[in-house]
Amino acid sequence: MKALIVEDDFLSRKILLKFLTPYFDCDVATDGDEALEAFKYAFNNNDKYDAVFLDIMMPKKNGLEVLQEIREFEHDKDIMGLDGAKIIMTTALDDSKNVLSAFKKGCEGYIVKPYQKEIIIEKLEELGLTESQLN
Amino acid sequence: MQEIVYKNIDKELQITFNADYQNVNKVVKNILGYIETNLIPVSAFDIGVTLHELLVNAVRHGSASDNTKIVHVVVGTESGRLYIKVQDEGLGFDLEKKLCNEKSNVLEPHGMGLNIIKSLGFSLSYNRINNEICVSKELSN
Repeated sequence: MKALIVEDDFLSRKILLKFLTPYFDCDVATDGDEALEAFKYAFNNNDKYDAVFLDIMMPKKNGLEVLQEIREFEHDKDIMGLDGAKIIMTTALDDSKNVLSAFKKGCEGYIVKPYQKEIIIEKLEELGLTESQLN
Repeated sequence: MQEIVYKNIDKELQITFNADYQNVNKVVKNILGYIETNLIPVSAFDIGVTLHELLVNAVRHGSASDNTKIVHVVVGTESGRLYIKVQDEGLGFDLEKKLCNEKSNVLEPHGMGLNIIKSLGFSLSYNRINNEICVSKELSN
């Protein structure tokens, strides 16, 4: 399975990459524009992402805007509901308003920073994203 | 092993399921189906998010992700309100402390889940004896 990690903070990106690598072939994007470019490129090359880990708080284009644009892009390509990428928002503590907005825009779940390996694995299990789990 | 059991008793939907994330998704989907079938006037989005937060919390924290443990859910309506009760086999936690004390674990992931539920307009209560959380919301007639 393929995942796109969208995270502007170097350390957070590195930690998430480490935790997700056993489960996914991971790409990284450091801002919203790069994320959309990567997402569309992968889609158009028939190599779609199964999951996107999307930071909410990013400069310029934030995670909520990226989420909305991804869902609009999928909608334009007639990709609906369960056929779309699983989008997991990553967020700081006490960010329930933004998480609720993200649910309304069509994310599947959220992970709270600082990242904990067990929580991330549980989230993958919850979303049925652990089929490729390595021993 | 028992997985999910549904009972429709006295206008209540009662569900028991083994504490497993895949069961959570099935239970949420079936409760939403029950609400739609019975024309209960509540937002499917609000109920879906709330159920998901409550049930994931019951699996992760109440059952320590042990799928031999059982989670009980009851959904019904009374006096113009929808209620959802979730009971697990865990040790429970101090809900009031979690919601009111800034230095408590309110900022933990499941604490944020409770804040999300509150922001959707649900009232919360917690029965420490039965280790049961109950949320309710006025029906949108």
